[in-house]
Amino acid sequence: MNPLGGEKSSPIPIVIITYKDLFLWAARYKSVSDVDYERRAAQISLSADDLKSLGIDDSAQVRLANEFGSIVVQAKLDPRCPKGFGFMPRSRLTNRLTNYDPTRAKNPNFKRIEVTVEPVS
Amino acid sequence: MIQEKLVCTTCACLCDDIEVEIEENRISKIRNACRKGSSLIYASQSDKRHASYLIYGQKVSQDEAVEKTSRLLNQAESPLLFGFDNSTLEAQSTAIELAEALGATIDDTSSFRQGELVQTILSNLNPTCSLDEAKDADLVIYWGSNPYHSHPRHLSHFSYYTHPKYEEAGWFPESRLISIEVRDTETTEICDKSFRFFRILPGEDPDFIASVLAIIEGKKGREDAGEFLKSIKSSSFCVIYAGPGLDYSLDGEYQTFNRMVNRLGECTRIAVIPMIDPYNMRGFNQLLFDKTGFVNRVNFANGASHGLEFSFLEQVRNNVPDCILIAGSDPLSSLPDSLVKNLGDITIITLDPFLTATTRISDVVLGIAVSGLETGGNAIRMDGTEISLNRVISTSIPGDEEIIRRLLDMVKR
Repeated sequence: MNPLGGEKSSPIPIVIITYKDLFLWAARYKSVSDVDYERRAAQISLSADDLKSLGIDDSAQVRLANEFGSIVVQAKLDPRCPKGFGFMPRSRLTNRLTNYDPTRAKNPNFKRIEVTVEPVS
Repeated sequence: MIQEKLVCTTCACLCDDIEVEIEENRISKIRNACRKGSSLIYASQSDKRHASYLIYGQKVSQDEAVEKTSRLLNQAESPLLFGFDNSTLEAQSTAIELAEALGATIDDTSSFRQGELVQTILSNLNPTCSLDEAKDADLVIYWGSNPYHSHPRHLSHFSYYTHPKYEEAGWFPESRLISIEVRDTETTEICDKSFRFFRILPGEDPDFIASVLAIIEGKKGREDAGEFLKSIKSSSFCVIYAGPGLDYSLDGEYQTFNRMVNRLGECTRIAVIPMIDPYNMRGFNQLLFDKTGFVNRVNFANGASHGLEFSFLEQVRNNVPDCILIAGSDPLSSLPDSLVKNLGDITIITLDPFLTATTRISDVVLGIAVSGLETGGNAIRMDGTEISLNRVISTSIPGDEEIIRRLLDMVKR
């Protein structure tokens, strides 16, 4: 059973949209160590519906994966987030999941990263 | 203690009202800078963050690093010069000369971020105005941009809050704010309730624009496009601040957007200003455009050729360059790992004031002074206005113009 009362589910597909985060940017320059930067980068905002589908609470760890890589980040409940989408600050971490394919788009897919998300037990 | 004013070179706002106090050649206090600006200024004070001169990770003298760089560039069969968006106009101009002298390809980050939009503005395909003129706009639109995070002082220093008749209570505002975004943000929260924001899901912008055009032409369209059109028609001066969200959604194809803006210009005065991130990307675009007619992706092997194949992305994807000179850019931190893994087989030379992921993998690193702080020069703000940068801190570290000038002299010999 998951904390929200449903059965634990299999990975679900979502689309990640990356954005520039002021605090992450500042952390990159402000501190000599990478700890603060990495902590701020390792977060994804998800909708309540998607957290429920995953059977997890706010702040749980999730694995995001696609053919280019896999990362583990903290899921944050965000009521502003539409179902099926996840928002992440653009960072070296999201670079592991992004791709540049000129047959699909002229730019790398920073605003449309297709991944599956699953809870990390 | 000395008090100085400086221009912040953190982003293309180039805020010119930053005040600092300097004690023993170090900045002890900063006033008016945003969180990004103050972080960069303080980072420049940290010796641990400053890049030095390195060849294969070993510390060397400036002369050794410059000589090694000139040898590598001269030997290269297919050199690529990339970046320069965080360089002064003088350094950019010298870099373009260097690319010509080498018969090299030159490109910058506008190649995958808003370059097409700047090209339309420089080609007079879209109306624009200066940020000073834009303060009179009674309708401010942020499209695919959340200035709270990307340009923290934009709203307070240049746009919405600077309207001459802005009332703090905001009950009967003379200027109105619209945000076109994929979700609620800090910016959408301050939009006027009656105009609020238009939620456009990722990739929906072309459909939204087509709908606005359809309604202008008397056809049916989306309800939100109709509301958007009504807002613009009721304004006397509208400025659209176009951000990277719009650019990615359109994938750099601005023809329909240009058509919409020009049709809207028949109803009201309208201007487009790109929300550029690097402080002098607009400068690089302007200089290259003046020389070749193109803002980026230029090859000088046989005169000046332009094409997608000369973009940094395509060059690296196809393993074309055998040597890349990168200035003031960190592709290892900002581009897909699946692409930048190709850099492992290429000779990399990096000019940067700071240690970055890219300097860590570079064959040669040339540490340079921070523009607008340790070295002066000129730059072009996001709206096309030229701004002079002061030098407020003394340092023996040369600016990028000096290093690139030395390389140019060596290559010419």
